[in-house]
Amino acid sequence: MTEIVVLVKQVPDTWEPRGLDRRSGFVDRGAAQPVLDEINERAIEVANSLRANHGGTIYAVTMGPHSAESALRRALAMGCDEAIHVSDDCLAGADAILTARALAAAVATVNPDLVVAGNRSTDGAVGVVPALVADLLGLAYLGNLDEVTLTDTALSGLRAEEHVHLRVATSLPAVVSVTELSKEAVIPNFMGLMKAKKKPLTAYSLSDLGLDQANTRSQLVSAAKRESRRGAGETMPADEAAAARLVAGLTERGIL
Amino acid sequence: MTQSGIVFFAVLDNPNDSPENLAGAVKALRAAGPVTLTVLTPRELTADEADRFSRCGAASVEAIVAPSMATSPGETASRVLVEKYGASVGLFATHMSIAGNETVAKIALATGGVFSSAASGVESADGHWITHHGVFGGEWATAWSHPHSSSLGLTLDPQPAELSSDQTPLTVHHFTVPEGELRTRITDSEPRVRKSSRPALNRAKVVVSGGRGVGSAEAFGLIEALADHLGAAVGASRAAVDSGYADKALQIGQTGVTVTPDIYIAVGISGAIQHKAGMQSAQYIVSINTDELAPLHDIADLVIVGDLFEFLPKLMDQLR
Repeated sequence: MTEIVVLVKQVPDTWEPRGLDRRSGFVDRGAAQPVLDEINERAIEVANSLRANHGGTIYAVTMGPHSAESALRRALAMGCDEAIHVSDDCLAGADAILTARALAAAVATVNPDLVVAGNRSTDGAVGVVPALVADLLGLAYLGNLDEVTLTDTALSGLRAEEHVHLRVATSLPAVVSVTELSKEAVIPNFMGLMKAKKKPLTAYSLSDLGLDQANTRSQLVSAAKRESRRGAGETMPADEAAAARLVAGLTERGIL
Repeated sequence: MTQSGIVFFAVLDNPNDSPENLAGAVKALRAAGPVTLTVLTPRELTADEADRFSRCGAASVEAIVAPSMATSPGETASRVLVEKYGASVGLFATHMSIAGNETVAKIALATGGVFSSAASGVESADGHWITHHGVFGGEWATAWSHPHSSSLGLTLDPQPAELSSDQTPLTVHHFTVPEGELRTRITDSEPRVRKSSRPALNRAKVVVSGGRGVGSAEAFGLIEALADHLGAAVGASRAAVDSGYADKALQIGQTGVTVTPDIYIAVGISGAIQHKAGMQSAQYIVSINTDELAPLHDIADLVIVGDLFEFLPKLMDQLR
């Protein structure tokens, strides 16, 4: 194995309030402190353990605004060796297909044996970008894996679908996406954080990658916030009267 | 070049693709134009299967028998659909799922189109497809337009509808992907075990959900007992799952399942924003918690303040 790429993304912190930008219909990524998406910590750990057994160099690749550099430094602190940052004003609000084009072009500069991504991001949460990157690069794809195993050039995994677990297999080169169950998240230590500052980071614009100016074809027509619930609720101590009230509430609604 | 055909594709034996759900999908798409229902299958259909698919209300019905659907369904589906329909179809749709999203996105990429997911309805107007979506657990309702000059790959939320008594004749095609061109394969499969006596979380009318306040995996049995008494689904907060009290499959919230039940009973859940995102559109929210000021109480209809270990037995007494 010579090269592994991990796709990473900077997202708003899940535990803070989210907003929807009415103008673009995109998740308002300004609303909360940006962090490296948690699933990426697990993807990096998958890459770390594959490198431990098979060798190789790990590249962290992201598409994002200038601030995404801090997510890349964190990825470098967690074990990635080099970072690649695709950043261009034209990519603001990019949809899944445009995102995949930008990432695939960056990944192509490295020509890896394996690309590891998280299965879905916490903002957007569609989970199709890794599959699209695979098609753009002409690579095999195994997605939503709870387990990943590599032997020589054969890759196998356990894919979790809604109703079934599938044992799947392919050969390298390939793209995989991994779930929260795949590995424990990496926690960078002080040495990792110090080393990260010196590891190489390369930035590309769209024209550096030979990509056309982006054109967004889908447009937001309307976005309406539904009436948020007023806290018109009733508060009671947890006694028999409350139990009776709950039973009455369930009966009124046809459950009992 | 404008393509205007609409294809909804289903996969044989996919639980999402029951004939009733397919009837619902055809109904949701019909507002945008005549719909072709295409069933991808690794084997010939039985007469009974053919009958049910023919009564989903589609303008035309096709079955594509491709043996490699058994071992490489994702690759086969996108390959077959692009080859058969790529030149003539403007809108490709399927039910939203991990595999459905992947396949539809790949088709959109291959046909130079755009991808959109989790739509509840579609129309066609002024040379555009208009898709309707609920975002953030239904907190926002959005509508998007996509020009007819690009193809559109779309996934829909499953919604059932009744089968028709009229039948649309079904035509059968056969397709073989050359063996050497498939790069991934399924070597084994195991159904995900779910207690079939409980309703699926994302479809349940009543959900009883436990949080960190439950305190242990054993104590989570109290949540399950209440749920079973009410015929409800069982859910859990992220904190409860992370603490090992409940399985990840039960997790409700931004990184778990979104539920839209009539009744949501939260037991020992504080109600972090990422949890609320997964249940805030429930019609009637009840919270049982020792903390009167838990954030969940901002959206609760009935707040019961006290120790769940003392209250739940009282509740079960009154339910019996």
